[in-house]
Amino acid sequence: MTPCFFGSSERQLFGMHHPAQGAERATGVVLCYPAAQEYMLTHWAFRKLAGMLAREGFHVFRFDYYGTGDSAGAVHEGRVAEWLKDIRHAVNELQDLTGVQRVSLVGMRLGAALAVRAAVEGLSTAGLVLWEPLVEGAAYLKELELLQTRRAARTLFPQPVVPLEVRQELLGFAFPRALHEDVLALDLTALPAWPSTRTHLVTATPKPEYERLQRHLEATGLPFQHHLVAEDTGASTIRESALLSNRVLQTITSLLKEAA
Amino acid sequence: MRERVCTFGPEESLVGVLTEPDPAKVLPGAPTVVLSNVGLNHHVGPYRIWVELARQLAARGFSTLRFDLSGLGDSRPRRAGGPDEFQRAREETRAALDFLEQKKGQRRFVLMGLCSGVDSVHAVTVQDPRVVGAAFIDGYTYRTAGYHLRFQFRYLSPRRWSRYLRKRKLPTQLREAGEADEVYTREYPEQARLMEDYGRLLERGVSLCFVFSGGMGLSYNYERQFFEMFSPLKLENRVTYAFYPHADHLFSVPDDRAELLRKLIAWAVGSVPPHALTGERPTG
Repeated sequence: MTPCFFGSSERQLFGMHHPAQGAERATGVVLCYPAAQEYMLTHWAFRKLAGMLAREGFHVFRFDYYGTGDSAGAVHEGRVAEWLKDIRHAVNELQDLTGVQRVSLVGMRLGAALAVRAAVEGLSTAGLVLWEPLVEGAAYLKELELLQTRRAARTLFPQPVVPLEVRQELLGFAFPRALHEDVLALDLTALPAWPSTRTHLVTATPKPEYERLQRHLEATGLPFQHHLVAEDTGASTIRESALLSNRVLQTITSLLKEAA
Repeated sequence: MRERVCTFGPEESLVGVLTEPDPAKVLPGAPTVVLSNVGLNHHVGPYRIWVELARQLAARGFSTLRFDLSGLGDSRPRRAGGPDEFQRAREETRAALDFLEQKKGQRRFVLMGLCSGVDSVHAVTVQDPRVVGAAFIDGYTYRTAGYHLRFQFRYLSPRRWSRYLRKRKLPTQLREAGEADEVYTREYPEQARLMEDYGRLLERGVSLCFVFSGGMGLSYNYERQFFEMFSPLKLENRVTYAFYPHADHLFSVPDDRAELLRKLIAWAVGSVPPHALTGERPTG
């Protein structure tokens, strides 16, 4: 693993290159984290996935979006348009570091939606893996708000009197109105086809929103497959136990190997 | 402010980020702050707390290294580290100090730890004279008579009843999900040994800061408990102390986090010797 800062000095992003081990493949992989609270919970799974892919000969790059992790910027400065630029910078960085010509993107939750948007906006990708993707921003926000409600209901700690939307935070992180609007506007089922050779949807359970995405992609004629991967623990939602599951990481690794 | 990636330590396995103030803003005599993992959270810290702390400290003239212990976060596991996780954490924290001394010429350090991170902070502070300050957030607690008394009265708390009613209103699936998350135990050093350690640290002139959150409610539940736990030492006015009963263990509410950071930064600034701030040389 080789850590680095990349991008401009005023807007430097933290990245981690996992060099290919053994015979190098011509395709690299950039991993797109989910955001905020889910980033905290999935960091280890992403490190593990990066290691598994590197052992299969992929050059892998994972990075923190602006305003997240070790990257420059404050949490409240996060915007979808900026994060799309960050994905493009990360792809360029991996290509500069390693010379790989083509890059696949693996994105989880919000990261999956960002990966798709980057491809729609012209980023050339060898393939996309959408891991438990955000399909519709409104449903995603509703899910997070429900988790927030559960947290507030279970805690003995008095909750701040000012409502969440006024405080502009969600699940412990600043969540400014501008970002809220950005996320709300995300809808993968409303996007035109993207120029990707292959798109894989990897999920633990079937959900109506995944079926809608599948129907949309089939209608656009994109090569597309949905892989249902039952979790080791039987957990059914995004929780730490689910994110330590090996099976989904093995599936993603196999899919990228087959495509490379 | 400038941030740089560092790799150091045994087998060059450790990865961290060093945050340094602009040269014009460096606070003379300020020790370098060292932070590592909180549980399994990587060096960014839960809710990005260590990043925010490092950057706010840089604005006050301090350098801060946040790093991952081997095998956690972005640091590789060591091949020859031995099986004792606690021993490795101590060695690696000292390796961080050695690195900063060799590369940056730093000789005075402040360590801060939260929850399990307190273990290596405590051990290294006791062992290493380069450590001039240590902050323990939700560190060691011992139940006192005052604790047991309040614990018996907990069902008289309106907050507990309002939580019960809030939970009753939730859908069954949400009500039950995650209940097991609350079970967590740690082994603490013996109280007498800890008191000896604190006594020695104070004699050595080490600045100590103790912070407790409401998240420690199963073992810590009132303002004065800390002073009563270590009453023979008479720690009042000898250490910096704060109790945030409204905050949870990871300070997940941004306002609570901001309050904690203000406390830690004020303590860190206060730990800089006055002669360093005024440019005078120490006497004696």
